[in-house]
Amino acid sequence: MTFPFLQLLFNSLIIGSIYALVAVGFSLIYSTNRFMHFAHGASVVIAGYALFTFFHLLHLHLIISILLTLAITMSIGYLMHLCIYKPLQQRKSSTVILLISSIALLILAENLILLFYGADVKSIGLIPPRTGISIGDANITVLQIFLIVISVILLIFLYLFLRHTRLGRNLRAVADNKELAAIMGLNTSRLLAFSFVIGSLLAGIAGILIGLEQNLNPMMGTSLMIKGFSGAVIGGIFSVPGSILGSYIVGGAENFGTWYLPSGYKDAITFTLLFLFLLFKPAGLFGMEKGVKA
Amino acid sequence: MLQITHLQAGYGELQILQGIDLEVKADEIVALIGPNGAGKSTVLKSIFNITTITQGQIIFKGKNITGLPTYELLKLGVSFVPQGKINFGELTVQENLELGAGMRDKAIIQKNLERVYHQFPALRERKEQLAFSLSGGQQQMLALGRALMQSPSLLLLDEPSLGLSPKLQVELFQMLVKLKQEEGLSLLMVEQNAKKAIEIADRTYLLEDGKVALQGGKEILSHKKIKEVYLGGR
Repeated sequence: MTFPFLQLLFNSLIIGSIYALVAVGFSLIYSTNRFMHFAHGASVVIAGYALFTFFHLLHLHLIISILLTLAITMSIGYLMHLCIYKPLQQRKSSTVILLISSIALLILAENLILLFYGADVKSIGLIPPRTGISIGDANITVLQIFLIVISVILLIFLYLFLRHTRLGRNLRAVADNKELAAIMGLNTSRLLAFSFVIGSLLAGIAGILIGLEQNLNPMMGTSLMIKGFSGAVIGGIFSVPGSILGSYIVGGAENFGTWYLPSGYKDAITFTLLFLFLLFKPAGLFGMEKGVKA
Repeated sequence: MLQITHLQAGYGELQILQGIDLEVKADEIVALIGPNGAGKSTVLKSIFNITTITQGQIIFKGKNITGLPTYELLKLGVSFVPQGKINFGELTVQENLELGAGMRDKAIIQKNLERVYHQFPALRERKEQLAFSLSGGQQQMLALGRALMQSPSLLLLDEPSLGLSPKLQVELFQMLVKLKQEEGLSLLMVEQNAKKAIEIADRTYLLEDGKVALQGGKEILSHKKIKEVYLGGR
């Protein structure tokens, strides 16, 4: 069998897009709030199951189900910030405490889903348009193309929003220097909350796209979070374009790697890549190592 | 313009200022000097409500501004250039300046931007550069420029000469005097360079252990205390 380059490329782009949506939200929250919000993975899985509930169980219209799902993920991101992280930060808890509580939140969310929905995989049941495009031996469905296009458009929008709007600039300012931002009159606590809302919205969209394309299982949040995190670190955790690139690299490494290795090594490939970057380029591809100037 | 009466403030349980009385009049440069830990920066931070104020009052243009949120202070015309990381390194020079103007409308921002670029031509040449790539002197200019974008009437400066070469320090102090004369700005600055500070200031306060130990005009340069402790003239 010849090396199915195109098919592997398609697969890499599909999963890379999902990782990128997770990674940029994580990176946005990390760079403004300065701690690892691993419960970001919970937002993804909650979105998947919320869509399943509204669309499959309650038979609501797809668009309405999606809008409700997005509203729920944004609220959950905001509430995690408001009820858990913010009080901890006000008590001057260390980032380790925040990290541990974020992992606890992720485990809690996944287990609540396990409790209510059971361990078996769920399918949204949207009849996927089977007809796809065949280029040589490679196949890609319309839904998969849609998934890639939506992700890329959103990622470009996010980039333009951060670069060219006042609100985006203020978010970057808070990420850069929170104390100075406060002195310049920016409402830092509102901007921190806002980054949670935007980040969780992106996680929610990732959850919806997965729900439309693949099956759902309660533990998928953790696995996606790890992949998104790896993508963000590889690309440079403070950089949105870096996180996007890193996520596609992770997607590519997994898919091309498992052509040579058994597919069970997927996660091992990601982790090897992650360790290599942490050892030799800890700031990531787009990270800048700059001296501190007064 | 600014009157501080019997200010006691600090950080949490730790009280630094033990009752400070201080005044800045219109069109005046006032310097705060003193040893490390005397509470010089704490005075500025208290005006900007970043400390815990336990007693005392801060009056600006007849209005009690004690504990007012930052955006209110900026609106009233008080700007603050802190110490340390004084710019947004990952933002461009122009973004740094625009951010200084807050939520004003575009026309006013543009006008202020032109004024600042006129004042600091080096910034105009580098307006698309990321701020962290500027030299120390340019960084200080950018921070000043950003504070001026608010069109303040009172500017608080925390050790503006820190980390600058002697030549740049001279330039900076000239710039501050010029700002006072041309823009009618009042300045309250903390300085570790006691001699230079007293020379350009209209009045100087010497702080020790959270109290005002000495105050006066340029004549305090020859005061025994200043000579002995700060100018090495034993």
